[in-house]
Amino acid sequence: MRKQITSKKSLMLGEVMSAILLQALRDAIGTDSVRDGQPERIAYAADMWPRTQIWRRSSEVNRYPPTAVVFPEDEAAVQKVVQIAGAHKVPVIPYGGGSGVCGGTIPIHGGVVIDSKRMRRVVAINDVDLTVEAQTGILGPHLEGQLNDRGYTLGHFPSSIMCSTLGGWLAARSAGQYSTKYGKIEDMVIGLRAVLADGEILQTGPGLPFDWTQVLVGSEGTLGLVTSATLRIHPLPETQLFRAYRFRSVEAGSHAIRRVMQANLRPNLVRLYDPLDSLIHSRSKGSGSGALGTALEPLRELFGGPISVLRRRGPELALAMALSVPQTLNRLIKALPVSSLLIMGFQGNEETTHDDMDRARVLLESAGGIDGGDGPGWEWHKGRYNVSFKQSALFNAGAFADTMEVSCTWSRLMRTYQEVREAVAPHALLMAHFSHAYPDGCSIYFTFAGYRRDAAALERLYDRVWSEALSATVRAGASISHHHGIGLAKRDLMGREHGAGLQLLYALKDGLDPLDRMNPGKLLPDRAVRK
Amino acid sequence: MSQDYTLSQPKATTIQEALDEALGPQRASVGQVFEANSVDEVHLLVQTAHLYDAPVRVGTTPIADVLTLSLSPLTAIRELDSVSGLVTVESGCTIASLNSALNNDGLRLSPGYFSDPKRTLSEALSSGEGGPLIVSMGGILPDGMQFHTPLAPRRATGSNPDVMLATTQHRFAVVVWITLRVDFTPTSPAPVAFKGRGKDIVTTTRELLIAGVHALSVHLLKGSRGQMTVTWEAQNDRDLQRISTAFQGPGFTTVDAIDPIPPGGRPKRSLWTEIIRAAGGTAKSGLWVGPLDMHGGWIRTTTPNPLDDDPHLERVRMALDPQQTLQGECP
Repeated sequence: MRKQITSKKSLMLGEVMSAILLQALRDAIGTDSVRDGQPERIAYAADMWPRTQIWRRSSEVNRYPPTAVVFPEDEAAVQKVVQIAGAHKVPVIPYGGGSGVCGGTIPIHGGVVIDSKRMRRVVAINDVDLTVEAQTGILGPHLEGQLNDRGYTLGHFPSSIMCSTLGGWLAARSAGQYSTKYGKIEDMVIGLRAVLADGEILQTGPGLPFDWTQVLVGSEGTLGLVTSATLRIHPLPETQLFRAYRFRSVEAGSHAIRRVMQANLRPNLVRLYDPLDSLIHSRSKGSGSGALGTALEPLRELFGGPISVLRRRGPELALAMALSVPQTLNRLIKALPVSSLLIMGFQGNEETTHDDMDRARVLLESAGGIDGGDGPGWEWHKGRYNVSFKQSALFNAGAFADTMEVSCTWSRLMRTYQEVREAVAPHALLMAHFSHAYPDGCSIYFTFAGYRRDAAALERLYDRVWSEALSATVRAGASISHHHGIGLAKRDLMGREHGAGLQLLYALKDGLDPLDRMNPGKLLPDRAVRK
Repeated sequence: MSQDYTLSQPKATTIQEALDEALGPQRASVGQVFEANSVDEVHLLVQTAHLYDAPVRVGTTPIADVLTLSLSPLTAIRELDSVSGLVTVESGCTIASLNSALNNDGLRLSPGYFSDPKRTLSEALSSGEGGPLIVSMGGILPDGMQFHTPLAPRRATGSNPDVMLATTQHRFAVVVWITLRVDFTPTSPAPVAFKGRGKDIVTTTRELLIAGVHALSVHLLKGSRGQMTVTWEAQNDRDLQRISTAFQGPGFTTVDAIDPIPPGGRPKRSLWTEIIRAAGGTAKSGLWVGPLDMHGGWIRTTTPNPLDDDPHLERVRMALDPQQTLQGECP
């Protein structure tokens, strides 16, 4: 009884504190910029982390609601919010488009979510330096559109571009589909402004003695909130060429990509699909492994009659049944007489682009590639932004799908691919493609899908698959993330990723945010886990 | 719960006894220079210093009340990954020795990133050289723990820890080895160079780079009377042709290509506006800019690296090393 009274008191106290906080925020940045209604508190309790979809299946739509959501219009307003939240000892959580897939914006300790989408201005375009300065709440298509109007491109085209912001890209070290030519977002950014935990502004830029830019980029809002950034831009390309090649194996295809990269050619697009992903790519007209909702089609090809019969009883049942036997599925897929599809693209001015493609063609064909024309490339191009919207069919069927993007040197590439395959195969259907190539290595993008009848078992399976996949990645000597970031999803593996060097990241946190107010609980493992 | 008391309760009663126990009799003493023969010895020295509150500086000059750590004997090439184009080398190795070893395997350090070939990698990195070539680093933290940053071409696993080590002169960790990207020695055309008025040279170079001319290296050197030389290492005959055509005008003359070894000083990443200003301004001859890309390049500056003036950096340092075991390089 006594306990109940205390908790009621705490609840009342909490409500009073929240009301004081909300009023302070409204006074500071305006009533219209502060929301605490139920719709906002539900909407901002999750991002696109697939685990949250499993929570939804068990009717937990609002596991971690924020106290309030604010919509600042400029840096000064962000500064005020951070200072007020600090005075009230509540966390602040940055929020862009909400397209993150690692739980990086989930307010697990409550607090104030800062939605940056009203900070959407292009501040300046510099035609001499070829740079753009923009506020970080700007959505991808808006930034790219304004650059296109001036004859430029940023060259950053993540599959989530329609629903992601510059701030989100910087927070998670995003990569676009054309990163092989233009680089990842950390290669593009040359300076930024951020509000630190104490409300101070930190401005970074080229030429300063210490490279704070590369400290803040990728810190997922745990060190400060980036309010604007200056990025490299490029003249709009005059032409785009694609060419597809078939290779007898993933290994042969990856070897061919390496030869192109180490010959100093820089295609804008490199995508090598493993056999199942190649099959799905050819069936789903371009959207590749993201289109797991269409996974039934290749499975039907694989199993013919049985799946067709199941399918007549409902596609969801067929899918679930197929995913219930992942080991068998993966073995059958391994035995498929399907080659690996490589799509390579070049863009730039007319003269050099054709010439570069010709040079690449010689290398690819001498590495065993069989020319498949430009059709697959243009099909991919048509569906290149569809991938983020097609997974709900699987979740509706009671299954899950998720993706893991790892990064490794060329010498560790095949080992990483094989180790992850072997680790995940007993538990989930698995496919992969290789993209984002560099002279010294490449990223592997794994997609896996699994099924269990009830939500609790599904969540356990989901965790098991991730644990096995990440452990295999670390064993193979690869990095656990290439461009999705860490968030909540991978933070407990950060100790294995960085080893004792994790102390450096903790020191950044302790030095810049000693009271742990900035997006707490993300990126770094809890101190107890660390010990 | 069990606890390891070996670190927190050392058996030795003085730091000299502890150093003798860890490294051998009279190998290391406060106020003297310790020549580390292995990474393990660096680890033992720093760990002991940390336990006994003794400061450590990296260098070759003895300093009273300080353990000076010389990395000069650490010169080994630990791994040459010719598949990935990566070399892992200890930080006492000189640029010249490294390049010589790479050349034997058909590889080279990308030109223009390192100045004096006699300098060690440790010295070069401390002044900010080689930054874009760094893929991973191995080090010893202030408490003596060994670590290395993840080895991958790109990562999305938080802040880039390499930048905390590259220019901070062993304040956050003693850097004992570095993995660098290396070039495959090109079969491309020989370098070409052109001389002209500084502003014209910069403008034409910028236009070529923005137009997508591929170059393995480009750099500028300012001469006397506002003249400037640009040296291009073109990637192929097509690009060589484009470069030569652009510099055929009356304001330019073809000259002998110079070795792309920049002068000392700190490389400062600069945008075109700053480079154009420097090229046309009154900067004395010897101004070096390079390597260049379509967004500018590195100007060599003699301005010292004022790390001590950065309060944020100092806060981070105090969080990592409250005892201030690591005190950077010898002055």
